[in-house]
Amino acid sequence: MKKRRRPTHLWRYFILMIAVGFLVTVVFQSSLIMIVEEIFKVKEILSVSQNRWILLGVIFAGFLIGGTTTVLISRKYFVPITKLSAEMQKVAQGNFDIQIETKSKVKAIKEIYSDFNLMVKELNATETLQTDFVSNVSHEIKTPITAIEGYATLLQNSNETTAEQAEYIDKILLNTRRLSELVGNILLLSKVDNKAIQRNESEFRLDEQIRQSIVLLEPKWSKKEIEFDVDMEDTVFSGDEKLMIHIWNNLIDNAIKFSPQGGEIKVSLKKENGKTKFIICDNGPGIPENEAKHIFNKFYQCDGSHKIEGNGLGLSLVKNILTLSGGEISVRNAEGGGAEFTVIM
Amino acid sequence: MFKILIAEDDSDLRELFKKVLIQSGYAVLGVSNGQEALDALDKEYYDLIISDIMMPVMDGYELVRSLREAGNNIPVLTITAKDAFDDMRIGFLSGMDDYMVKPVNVNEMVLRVGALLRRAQIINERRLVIGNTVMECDSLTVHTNGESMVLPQKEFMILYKMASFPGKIFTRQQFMDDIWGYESESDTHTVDVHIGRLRDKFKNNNDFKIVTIRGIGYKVEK
Repeated sequence: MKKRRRPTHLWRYFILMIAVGFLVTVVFQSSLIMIVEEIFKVKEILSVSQNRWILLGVIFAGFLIGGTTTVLISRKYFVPITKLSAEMQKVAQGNFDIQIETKSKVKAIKEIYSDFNLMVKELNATETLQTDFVSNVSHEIKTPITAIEGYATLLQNSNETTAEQAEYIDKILLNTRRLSELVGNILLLSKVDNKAIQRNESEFRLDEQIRQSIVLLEPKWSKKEIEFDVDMEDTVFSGDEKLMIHIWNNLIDNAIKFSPQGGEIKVSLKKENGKTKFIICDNGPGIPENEAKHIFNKFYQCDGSHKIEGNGLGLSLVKNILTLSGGEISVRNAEGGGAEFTVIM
Repeated sequence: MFKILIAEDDSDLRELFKKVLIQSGYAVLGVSNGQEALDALDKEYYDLIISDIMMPVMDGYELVRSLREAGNNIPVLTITAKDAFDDMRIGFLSGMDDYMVKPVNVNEMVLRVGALLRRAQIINERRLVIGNTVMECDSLTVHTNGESMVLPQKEFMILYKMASFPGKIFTRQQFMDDIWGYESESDTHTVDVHIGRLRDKFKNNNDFKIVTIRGIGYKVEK
């Protein structure tokens, strides 16, 4: 692509110059002749009509030479800049391993090239830093949390605690879990926000992924004796598998959280007008109308839902992942109460 | 007594895991990285390894990989701070048997260690015991209270798979992929037919029952 673009641009430039020269010569021929006559004071010779054509030829040739010179000079700048632009496009797409060289002897061009190389190097370092940072933070925070949770569990397992102490231990455990969930969500959200995740598209069975997500959350829903009503068509989907799983985990977890003991969650997956439509509906309290438009905001939690659990990041994460992969999500209250989330991709 | 090797660089966490496992009746040695784990394995036999992923000198992936390359099939439970799907994939590819994501619930860890050891035994002996029922892999036979029944291969595999992990839900697709193979053209409803036959054959068995999770899959409950 790069090789085809370069000559095309130059030829266009060249032809344009000649065309302008030609036009100027033809349209203004009489005025031009007058000017030349004025300058050289050679009225007699040039009034002969044959000579007029010679003059036009000379002027035309002038433009031709001018055009060629311009092209030659611009070549010096044009070629390196077109190359730079092509390389910049690659950087914009996330390739930070590029380093470019130029044979150009122009100082400005050489400087631009070395600055570009420096910039890409810096970007590369930042990118690595961020990816490493996310996994380091996650490891460094979660290790002490595991120790806290573990030792608290040991206390809980021992039979020597009073009822009051047992209650405190429960609170420590609950809050370590909250903290670690929060850390996980913040890190994932920052990755999605910064598009640091390299997008990996592949084909996979979407209905099976959702089913696996339900299986993963089994301890939570079986504890609340929740029934699942699942109606999913076999669906082969093309998308980022490891990112998509977070959508289902969050939406299903959310539905379990707001379902009453012994509640029912309806899940359906269908193809509609060439799009894939996923609906999940619980029979919890639903979402107050004035709050529905905020629930995808970071850290937003409906009144009273603080008491349940969670950190207000789950739905925001879902929305960001969907935006990144070209999907959308909406929410409404189902007939007979309960919240109904619809995802269209 | 089963012997367990723990590779974890955080000393508080290592001590915690040791305490919990010793309380549950295991003999435990703690080391602080993959290289030390390999050295310990050279000196003594262990039944199971619990390993962190991010460790200095030699990380968990490398530890598991070098064990598997040397033909050592010791069960490995990895404990990781990463919960990204991709990291899990790398882990399973390098040969780990199970994983837990930090923060790890220690009670759950004990359960998983037990399950891994049980499974290793099931794999070694090629037989499985639930109450008074014994399933023998080589002869595809199920013995209950003196009665024996030989099952068709696929039926046996489905039952054996579920009984190896009591309480765990399997989707129809999982059975299709593992037992029929990825290339199979059969419909997932074939699984339903096999489950129906199994239910019928074991309706009088009190040791386990096959439970349907509507729209999702099946599990065996003790």
